Amino acid sequence: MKKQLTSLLLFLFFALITISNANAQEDKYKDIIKPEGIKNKKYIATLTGIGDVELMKPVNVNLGMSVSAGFRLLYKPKLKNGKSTYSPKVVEREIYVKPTFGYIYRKRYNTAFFFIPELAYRHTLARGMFIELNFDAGYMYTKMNAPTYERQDDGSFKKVTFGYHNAILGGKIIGGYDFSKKHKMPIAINFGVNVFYRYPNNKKWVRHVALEMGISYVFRKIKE
Amino acid sequence: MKNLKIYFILLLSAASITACSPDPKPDGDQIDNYYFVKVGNVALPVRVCGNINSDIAIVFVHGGSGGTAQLERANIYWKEIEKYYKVVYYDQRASGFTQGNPSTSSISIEQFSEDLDNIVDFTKQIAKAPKVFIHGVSFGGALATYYLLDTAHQNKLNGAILEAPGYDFINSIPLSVQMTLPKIDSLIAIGKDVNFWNNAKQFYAAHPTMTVEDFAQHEKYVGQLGGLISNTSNVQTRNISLPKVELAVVVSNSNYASTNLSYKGQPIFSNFDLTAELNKIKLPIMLVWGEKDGILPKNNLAQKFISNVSSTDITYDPTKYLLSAHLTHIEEWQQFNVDTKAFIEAHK
Repeated sequence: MKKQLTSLLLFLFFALITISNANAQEDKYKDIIKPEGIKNKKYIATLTGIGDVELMKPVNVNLGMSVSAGFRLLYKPKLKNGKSTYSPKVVEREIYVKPTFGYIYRKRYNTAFFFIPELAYRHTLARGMFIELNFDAGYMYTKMNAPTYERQDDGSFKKVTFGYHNAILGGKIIGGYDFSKKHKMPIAINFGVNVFYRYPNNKKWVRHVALEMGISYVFRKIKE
Repeated sequence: MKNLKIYFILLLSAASITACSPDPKPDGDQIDNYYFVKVGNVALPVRVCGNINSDIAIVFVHGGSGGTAQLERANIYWKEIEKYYKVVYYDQRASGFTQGNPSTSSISIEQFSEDLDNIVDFTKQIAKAPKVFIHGVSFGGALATYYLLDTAHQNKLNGAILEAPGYDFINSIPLSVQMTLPKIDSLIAIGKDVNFWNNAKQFYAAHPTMTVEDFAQHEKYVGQLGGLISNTSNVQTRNISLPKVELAVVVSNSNYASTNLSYKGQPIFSNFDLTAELNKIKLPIMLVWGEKDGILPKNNLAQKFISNVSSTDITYDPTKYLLSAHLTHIEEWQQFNVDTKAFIEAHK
C-alpha cells in the first residue's frame, strides 16, 4: 500500500514538472488562432449624457445629450504574452474620427446644438478597460430658449427665431470599460470630463466644463 | 441587450424631461414670463412678473454698467410691487445674462437708450401694460435720464422713478472722492487698518483723474466705507429662480460693458454730463437719493437735478432715506414701497 502511494505521488510530481516545462511551439498555430481584436474592423456608436457644470453656489448642472459614430482611422495592436501562447493578450491602440451631434439645454437661456468631428485616441487594455483622449473642434448654434420678439419698422413686434453661431474648441478625457473585448458583449460604457470653449461672446471665448457618461455599441467584424 | 435598451430609454427619458419641464406656475394672479427682445444682433433677456391683471408696468433699468436685472428680483422690495403691478426686468446689452457678440461701438448710451425704447414698446404691446413707468438706479438712472431727453420717449411713459441717477459722471466722481477722503482720515485717526487706508490715500493722490479701472478700485473703497449699502440690517432678499446662465458670460459682460461704454463716441467717465439738457424733461419724476450715498453723493447732485429739470411734477423729499446710501430701494424698501405706490397711483 505504501509502495503504491509513493509511486502515485512520484508519478504526479513528474507529471506536473513535465507539464509546467512543456512549451508550445511558437507560431505553430498562428494561422489558426486569431486573437480577438488583432485583425478586425471596429465601429462604435455612442449615446452620451452630458452635464454642463457651472461651478458657482449652488452648483448648476445643465443637461444635454450627444450621439456619435466612431470610425477607426488607425490601429496599432500590441501583443502581450498571456498565460498561454495560444491566448495572447491584445492591447488596442486606435485613432478614431467621431462625428458627434448633440445639445445642451439651459432653461430660459439657450439650447446649444453642436456638431463636432472629434478626433480620438483610444487605448484599450487586454482586460477591456480603456482610456480615450479627444480633440474637439466644431460648430455650435445657441438658440434662445424663450419666445423672442423683434420690433418691426412699423413699431409692431413679431415673434422670431434667433440664435448665435459659435465655433467650439476643446478636448476631453474619458475612461471606460469595453465589454466586447473580453466578454463578447458588444457594449462599452464610459465616463469623462469635457472642457470646451465657445466663441464668440463679447469677442471672447466662453469656457465650459462638462461631465459625460455614455454607453456604446461596439461593432467588431473579423477581416477576411 | 435588454439592459442596453433599458439604459437607452432611461437616458432619452431623462433628456426629454429636462428639455420640456415647465417653470412652476406662479401663485394666483401672478405671472412670470420670460422672453428675449432682439435688437440687431443682441437678444435682451426680459422677465415679466407681477400682477397679471394690472395694466401698469414698471420697467426696471439696472445699474452697472454691466449689472443685471435678473438678480434684482430677489430684493424684497419687488415682492410688494409685484402684488400690484407688472414688473419688467431686462438686462442691457453686454450686461448680466445677455448673450451675443455686440460691437464695441454699440456699447454706448445712445444704443442702450434705443434698446430701452424697444423694451418700453415691448412692455406696452406684448406684456399688455399700456401704462409704463421706468425705474432707473445709479447707472440705470443715468440711462433713464438720457432716455427721457427725447420728448417722444417721454410721451410713451406715465412717469419715471430715478434713484441716485448718475446723470453727471464728470462732476460726481470728484464729489465722491471728496466725500471719501475725510472718512478715510477719520479711520486712520482712530487707528483702524492704518496701513490699508494709507494705501488708499496714496491711490487717490496718484489718480486725480480716474479711468474705468481706477473707478472700480474707488468703488471698492466706497463700499468698504458703507457708501454703497449703509443700512445693511434692513436688507432682505427672497428666493427666486434664475435662467441657467453661463457664469463666464456674466463675468465677461461685466468687464465688456464697463470698459467700452461710451457717450458721443468718447469714454463715459470723461464725457457724460447731462445737466445742460435736463430741461428737456417734463415728465412726472420721483427722485430718490440716499443721504449716505458715497458713490453719487446726494449733496449737490440731487438739488442740481431738481433745479434743472423742467418738470413741474417732481416728487422729492430730501428729509427721507437718511439711513440709506446708494441702493435706497434695498436699504429702506418699506418706505420706498409706500412712495412708489403713491407715485404710481397718482400718475396712472
